[in-house]
Amino acid sequence: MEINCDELLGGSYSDWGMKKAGDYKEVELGGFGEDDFLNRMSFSGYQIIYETVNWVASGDGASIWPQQKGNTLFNDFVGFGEISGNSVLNSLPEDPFCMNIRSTLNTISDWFHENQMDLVSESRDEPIGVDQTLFKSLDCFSNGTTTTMLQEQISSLKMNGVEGLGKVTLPEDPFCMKVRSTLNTISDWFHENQRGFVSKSHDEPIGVVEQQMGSSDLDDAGEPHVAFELVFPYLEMRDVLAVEGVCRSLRDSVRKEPFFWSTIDLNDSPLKYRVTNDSLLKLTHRAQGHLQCLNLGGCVGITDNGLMQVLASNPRLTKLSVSGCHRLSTAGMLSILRDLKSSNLLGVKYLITGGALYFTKEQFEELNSLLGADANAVPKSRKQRFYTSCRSELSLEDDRVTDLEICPWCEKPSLVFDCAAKTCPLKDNPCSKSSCRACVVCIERCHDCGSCLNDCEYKPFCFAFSCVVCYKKTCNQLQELL
Amino acid sequence: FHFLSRSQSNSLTTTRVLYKEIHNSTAHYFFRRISSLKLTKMSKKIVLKTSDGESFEIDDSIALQSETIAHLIGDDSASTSNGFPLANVTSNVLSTVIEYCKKHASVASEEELKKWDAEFVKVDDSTIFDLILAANYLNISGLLDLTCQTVADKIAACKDADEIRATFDIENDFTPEEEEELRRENQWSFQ
Repeated sequence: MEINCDELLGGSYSDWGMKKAGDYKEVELGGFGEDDFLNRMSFSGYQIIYETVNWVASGDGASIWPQQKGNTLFNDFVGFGEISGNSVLNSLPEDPFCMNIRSTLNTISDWFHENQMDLVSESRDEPIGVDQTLFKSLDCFSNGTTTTMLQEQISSLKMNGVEGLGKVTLPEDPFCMKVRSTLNTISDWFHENQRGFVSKSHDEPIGVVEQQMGSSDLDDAGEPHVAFELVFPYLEMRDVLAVEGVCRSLRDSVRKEPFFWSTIDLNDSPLKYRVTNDSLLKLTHRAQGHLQCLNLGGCVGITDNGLMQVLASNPRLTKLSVSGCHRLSTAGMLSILRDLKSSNLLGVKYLITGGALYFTKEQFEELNSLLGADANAVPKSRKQRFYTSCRSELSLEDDRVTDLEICPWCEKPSLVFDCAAKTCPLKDNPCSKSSCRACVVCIERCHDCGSCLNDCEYKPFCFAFSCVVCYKKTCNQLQELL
Repeated sequence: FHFLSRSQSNSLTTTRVLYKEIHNSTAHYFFRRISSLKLTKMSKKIVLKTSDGESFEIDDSIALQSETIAHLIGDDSASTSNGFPLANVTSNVLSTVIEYCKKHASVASEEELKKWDAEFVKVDDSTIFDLILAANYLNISGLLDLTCQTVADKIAACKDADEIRATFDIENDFTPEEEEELRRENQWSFQ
């Protein structure tokens, strides 16, 4: 700080002090600039200090200590080793604490300028009081405190009821600390990592931060294990779609392999009530033309149109099961197959109806011809079908093209079942294998064990679907549970 | 019979010839000794070497549950002395796998095996995934089914993608646009 000592030494101290104090009202506040500090000084406190310093330096009145006015700064000055004459004042360092005082004080002075603080009051005492407090706050600068302290000071000033302090807006960055950019950096970092914080736990983001720091050396933290992909074939469709939404790598591995989608099994899936024509089309598109097996067991939302689109876009589809799709019609199914065949897009070789479609004899013959089988030929190896197990079967183990057959009893196309009387425990006279073969209309069957219920004393009660034996078994089991 | 080396089978036939022609107790004794040797040779030991350098010696009945090892034995029986190097399997994982194979090679009812399996898979996620990888590499179908089904059940128990992420500690690295696109795509499957 440049100190103009001439003025200081020019006259008597008291004169000088009085003169300055007298000029107080006219002196423009602020101006801690490049100019002479003392010239533009607006705080008489500083006047006093410099007076005091000089006074001490000159060795006079050493015993008379100045009043307690901003002692700390004074002590700082005094503690500068030898104090002899003006050279001390001259040689006081410009910015001993590298605090960038000049720009700091500039900022503050600008602030004062803007706010046109009127520290003047009627009596002379008060400015000193005000200055004293302000001086204290300025004094804090030398210790490197923050704006908050200044705010406290200002607010305490307010509370002291000093007039003219009115509404004060605090300077933006008085200490040139670039607080704004610091805070920006911190908030940006927080926002970037926010997702990580929030997704892990909503309760303790701080704890999560530490966790992330700690586990950053593990390269697979937060990443799915490589073995995840091996689990996909064991997942149901609903779970596959859920897994797709977990993270990027899983989404990519779910989508990348079209052969994973070559069999779409929606049989009794939790999604069966929610599958629509559009969603089915989307699903089948994932196979990119390689779709081979499609099991729509129980998907009640599928109509003829939707099925038509699916089949048209997947000419390689060989196995189709529509059991339980109640909105399909026989005529619709046949027309689909007819159209596809005529445009050579028909790949379907096996159609499982599961009893959902009712065919007349002619329709049945047409179906067989469309699927490329001879309706009248007796298949060579025929697996026994029992009413229990094959209600929702996908694959036909023998070389039939469809699960419909001509019933030997009523000679109508239908699902034909064999008698499982052998496995039924309490049958006295089991029927012979070959004769007890007919559709469900001709021979009633037990839903649990599949044995025939005609002509036997084990016929169930009305509306009960199990034979008496199975019914008793279920009752016993329930009683055990209870 | 491939467990017997050629010299041994030769000695067996020689012994038989001896037995027939000489017909004295020495030959008989010799024949019986060879037979008993043949029996012990049946339970041949196989040495497996893991990626971290440890060696495990196990019966071939246990080792043959792994189709990979079965193929290796079939191709090149000379390396049985040194041990089969398993580059992708560490020793702690291999010991767990051997435990599984031992149990499934032993005589036990299906119910008992099922119970044992259920206990066997009560381990932490990383172990299960390591077992999946090992079972896949060693081509042990039973273990692969068991472990994959366990993980699949865990996934099925989760209601949605968020729960899956929480269960398996996976980070959500989608941008908001990607999330939106996925949501639109699979909207029909959500509850």
